[in-house]
Amino acid sequence: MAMLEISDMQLLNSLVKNVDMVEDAQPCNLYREVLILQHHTDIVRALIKVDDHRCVSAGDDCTAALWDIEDGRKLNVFSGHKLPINCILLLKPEPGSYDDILLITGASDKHIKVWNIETGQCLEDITEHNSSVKCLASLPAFDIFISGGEKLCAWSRKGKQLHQVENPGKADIQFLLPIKENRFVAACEESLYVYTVEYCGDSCEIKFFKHLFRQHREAIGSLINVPDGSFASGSLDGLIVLWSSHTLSAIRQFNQIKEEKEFRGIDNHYPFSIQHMISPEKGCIFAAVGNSIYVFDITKDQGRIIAKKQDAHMSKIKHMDFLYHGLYLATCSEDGAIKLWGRAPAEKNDKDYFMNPLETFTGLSDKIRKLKKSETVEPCLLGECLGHSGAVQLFVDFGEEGFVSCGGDGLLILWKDGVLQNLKRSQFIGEMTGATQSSYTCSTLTGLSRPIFTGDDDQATLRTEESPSD
Amino acid sequence: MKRAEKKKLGGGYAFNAMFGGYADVAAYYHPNEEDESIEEHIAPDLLPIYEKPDPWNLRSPIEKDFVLLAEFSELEGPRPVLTIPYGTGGQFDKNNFAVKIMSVDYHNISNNTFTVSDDTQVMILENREGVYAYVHHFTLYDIHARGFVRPFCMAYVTADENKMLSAYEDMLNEFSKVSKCFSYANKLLFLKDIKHHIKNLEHTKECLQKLEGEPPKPNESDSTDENDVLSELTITQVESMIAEAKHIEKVIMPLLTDKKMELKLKQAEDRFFMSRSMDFEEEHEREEEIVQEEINTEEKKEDVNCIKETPRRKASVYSLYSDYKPCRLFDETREYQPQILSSAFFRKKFDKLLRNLHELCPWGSHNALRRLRCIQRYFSRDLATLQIEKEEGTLIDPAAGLLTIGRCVTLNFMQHSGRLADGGYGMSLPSNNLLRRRLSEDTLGSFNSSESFYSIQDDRESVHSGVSSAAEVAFIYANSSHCDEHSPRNRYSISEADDYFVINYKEGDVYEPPKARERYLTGSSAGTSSERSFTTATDISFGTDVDQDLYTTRRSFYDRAISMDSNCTSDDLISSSPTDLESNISRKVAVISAADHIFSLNSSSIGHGILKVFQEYRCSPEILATLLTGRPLVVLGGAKDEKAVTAIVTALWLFLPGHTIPNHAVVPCLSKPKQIKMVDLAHFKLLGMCRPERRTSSPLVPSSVRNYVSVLDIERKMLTAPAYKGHIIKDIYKQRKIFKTEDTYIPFVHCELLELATRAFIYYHCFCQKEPSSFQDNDFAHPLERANVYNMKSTEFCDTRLSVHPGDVPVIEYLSEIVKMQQYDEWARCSYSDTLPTSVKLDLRECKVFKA
Repeated sequence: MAMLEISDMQLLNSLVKNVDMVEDAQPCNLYREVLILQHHTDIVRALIKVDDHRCVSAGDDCTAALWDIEDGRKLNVFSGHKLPINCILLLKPEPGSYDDILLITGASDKHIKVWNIETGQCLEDITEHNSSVKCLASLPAFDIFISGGEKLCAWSRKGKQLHQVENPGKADIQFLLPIKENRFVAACEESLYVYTVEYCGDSCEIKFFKHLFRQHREAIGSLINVPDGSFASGSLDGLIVLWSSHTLSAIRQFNQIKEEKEFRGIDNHYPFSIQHMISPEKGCIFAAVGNSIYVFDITKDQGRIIAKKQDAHMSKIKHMDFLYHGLYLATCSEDGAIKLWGRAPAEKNDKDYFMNPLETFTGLSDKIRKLKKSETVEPCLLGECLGHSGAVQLFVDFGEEGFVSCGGDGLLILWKDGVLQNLKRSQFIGEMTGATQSSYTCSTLTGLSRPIFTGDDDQATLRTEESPSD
Repeated sequence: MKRAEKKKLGGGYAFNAMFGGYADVAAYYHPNEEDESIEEHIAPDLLPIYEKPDPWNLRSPIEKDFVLLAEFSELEGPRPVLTIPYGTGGQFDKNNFAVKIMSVDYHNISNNTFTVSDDTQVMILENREGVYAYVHHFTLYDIHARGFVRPFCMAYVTADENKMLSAYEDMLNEFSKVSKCFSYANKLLFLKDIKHHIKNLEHTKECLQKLEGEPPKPNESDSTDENDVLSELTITQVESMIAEAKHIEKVIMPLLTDKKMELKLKQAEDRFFMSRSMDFEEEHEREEEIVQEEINTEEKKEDVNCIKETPRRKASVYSLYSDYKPCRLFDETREYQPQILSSAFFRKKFDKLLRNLHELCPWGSHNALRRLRCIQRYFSRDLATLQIEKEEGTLIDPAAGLLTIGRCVTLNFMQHSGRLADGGYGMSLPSNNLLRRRLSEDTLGSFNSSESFYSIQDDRESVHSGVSSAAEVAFIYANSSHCDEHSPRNRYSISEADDYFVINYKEGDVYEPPKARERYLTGSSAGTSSERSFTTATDISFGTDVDQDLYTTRRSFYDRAISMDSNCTSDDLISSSPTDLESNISRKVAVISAADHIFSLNSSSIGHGILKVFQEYRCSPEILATLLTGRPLVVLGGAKDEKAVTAIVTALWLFLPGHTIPNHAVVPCLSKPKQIKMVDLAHFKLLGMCRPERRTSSPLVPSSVRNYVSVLDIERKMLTAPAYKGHIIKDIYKQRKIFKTEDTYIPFVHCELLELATRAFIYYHCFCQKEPSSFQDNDFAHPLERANVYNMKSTEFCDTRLSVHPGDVPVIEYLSEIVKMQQYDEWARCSYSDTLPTSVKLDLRECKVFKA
């Protein structure tokens, strides 16, 4: 249960030397206030956004917690698991119903628990999974969820086991990704398996559909949906494969490193491993490749790199996402830092938002980018959010409300726009105190110049006269 | 006034020639002097040296104010019982004074029928001797005394006439409370005695009636005392005695209505007996030891001063808590066995020593004496300090609006506004249960939940400043320590080095209290101790049913000061364990008035050594700017620099704004430091650290927080901090050359800081509260633009309206931000009854390295 901690020495020893240092004052970094949410006592591995002002965190301390991210209040704690929670999932109520949102937690203790998020009450404790629960996914179309581990199980909303399938792979299932209404992909080591769900009446059946042709040579580290009806898988060896959700065939491959020696790197460091990918819009994939950020143009066969930041972090990037309505691309890493990337400040002469995240990120509109075909943009480091004393696992964006990050130090840090917070407080106080400002100024200023020894003596004398005496 | 003139002219002997002779001169200077003696016509060098007071330079025999407790003894007449503090007033004739003050009031108590007399107050102004006193007479009742009364009086004796005049009302108030402590306990005892007495009388009457029926036995060989008594009494006599006693009972009964007080006394008693019954448990032994020790010191200190007592009496005092069976006021279980009246009773021989004060007021006397000590400590300060403090006392409310710098009250941003305080938003309501609950959870839970992994706080050797809110502000006064140095539990004074920072919790202490938590959570039924621990300073707990209106209208420093002290000290008596006491303290924030700070400057005061620091570090403006902009400052020293680090932290504390402990804590020196973590930034603003002897791989200030703190390395004489470009702090720094000593410089600093605070005040009211509206409507396309515009506007406001240099804007912004945060926290606390995490400002300004 020892928590990870990256000491500075380790960082110095790391192989990467030429990592960008951020400008001292960080003029472009708006996150100037933090709230530290303390609850977890071990690594926080899962973080999920509930709605615009709440999130759930869960971790190795076997508990999950619900937070209000406006003021950092802890709203609920979900405790009951005996071993670390590996994955969490939210089941939103059916549209039109007034049910509360359900939280599903899957843990190493082979239990799946269903909680009411509002009350903190544990509604179901599912034990039939019989193996460590590694991942969860919901299939909203059927109002069921599936869990993966040694096997695959389908569960009703109420926690009733609907079906169970053995996993053809040797290892546990690590990722589950619903790709179409009734179809989902399970990633197990370097293999991908597609399943279909057949749901009629009360019975539900998971059927093995296809074993996707073996492309990856190492374990898959990231599995995402891409907006234009495809999905992508990235693996430890650096390979990213784009698959069609319809035909289930590989469309394209990027970042292929042929030599095993090369992708393994020194000491099996896997310098090109894909830890995380996002596809904020059609046609591009942002990938965390080792310590670097790559943006691939997936419309072209060869996978042109639109933007690239080599050695963005000192250690591997664990998670990346856009923050503040796309203002920043943030990456977090094992080195404990969260870095904010974007256009260089000099180029920011027009203050409008660009149409899409990619444009914002590169500072070039789609048209211009297409004209400058061969050019690879290098994003500029706009800010560095340092605070975690261990690896930063992941973060969740809440737009203007800031973002929440969680890490190996058991902390959740809520990063806030300092000026906005300041304004909010001022406004709040202003509303409460009303519009009597002018009078304060006068009274107190005169009050200050008031002589200290006034009239008291006279009064005291009067009092003395009244008092009984001899 | 007249005396001042005399003084002025006193030295003018050289010019006496023009008046023909000394006699003429004397006649000229004081024609109305009554007792002119021959000596005054003689040149001073011819006069014999003896202790006749010198009228030219009238010196009071009183060097230091003290409290004198005197009684009218049946055997000896008026006599002093004790002085507080012990041994004061050495030059002063206490016996004589006791006679004087007791004779003043004695005529009041000469009624034929029993009545309960009220306390009387007198002010004695002995101009000639330079002795001024407030005298408070009160009567205790004793079944064994003549007329059942034991006249006592307390006198506050001072040499300062003005103090007496101006503080009369406050003294009256405070002494009344003390008197109440004494007399309530006393009345309870008296009532009990009377009841027993009635039973005795009735029993005697029965015996007499029996005796009458029987024929007298002439040859009674064993003539006992009983028979003696019976033979001397007649039934009618006994009946009249019964009537008298019943009358007394009737008079006393309705006066005993203060359930709160009774409960407290009962708790004291229960606690005592409980601790005795569980004698073998080590814990309680220790506890009792403390009680014992306390009593002993008390007795030694004060009772030694009593007129010599017989050994028996002495023993009984000492044994009050050990082998002697202390009377149980509240034990209703045992039925009283009536006895025949003893001869001593009705014969009234008055050769027997009467009960002493402790015996007369079981359980109440200790509290009363503590209170007296507090009163003495409070009033013995300089008059100017008292008055300034009284003026500034109004600044505490509402607590959320209070800005302090260096723990000294500077300004209240919300004074006179009242809207935040008046409820409506549920703010700063001292009796708000939610608030109380929150605080308790806070103290017990949150701090400890932070494990050492992400904080330097270690469970055992950690610094633990406790948690408190802006609502729990109480004044203390700095000179309290030297008066109370004997007290084993003196933890309230900031002037003791280990007081201000931390209360070291042992893990067990803190984790133990599910019990304590329960107590705090279960509201009023759990007992008054919970109430007391959360009362804001305005509700005085012990001995107050003095009308509350008076308190709410006249909230002054000393109310708080005294109540704070007596709250805590009465806890001593009652709280179930020392742990409770500690956690109670941690909930209170101690702020002092600048006047008191200046008055009681000593080597451990905040700010001591500031000139030395300035002399040593040329980069002092940067250091001060760091503190005044809310950037945490770490003072880093070598392994053996603990003293130096502590000294610097103490000195720099003078410039640290804010007082709410979780956010603005000061840690003088951590000898076994760990890496600073993000969590710590939320709590500490000024932190001293010593590098461990053996270098470890991880630095004390790791990269995760390095950007947000300034580091003053005293070993390498280096400061890493943002550059300071403003003027205000530089001015404060430069002016040090004009002031040669800290005694004069620190008042100057207070003035400058007040000036700074007033600017922040205007900024707060005129900018902060109005500006958001302009940002509300204007939806900025880009959040960065919003930030830029806001900063620009802020700087412009400071420049044009406050004539503050842009370099000083962060200071103004931070000072107003402190108040905003307090208000917001207060609101959140009341509306959620929950702890909100503290927000940490990340100061990303560019840092430079300065060579000291």
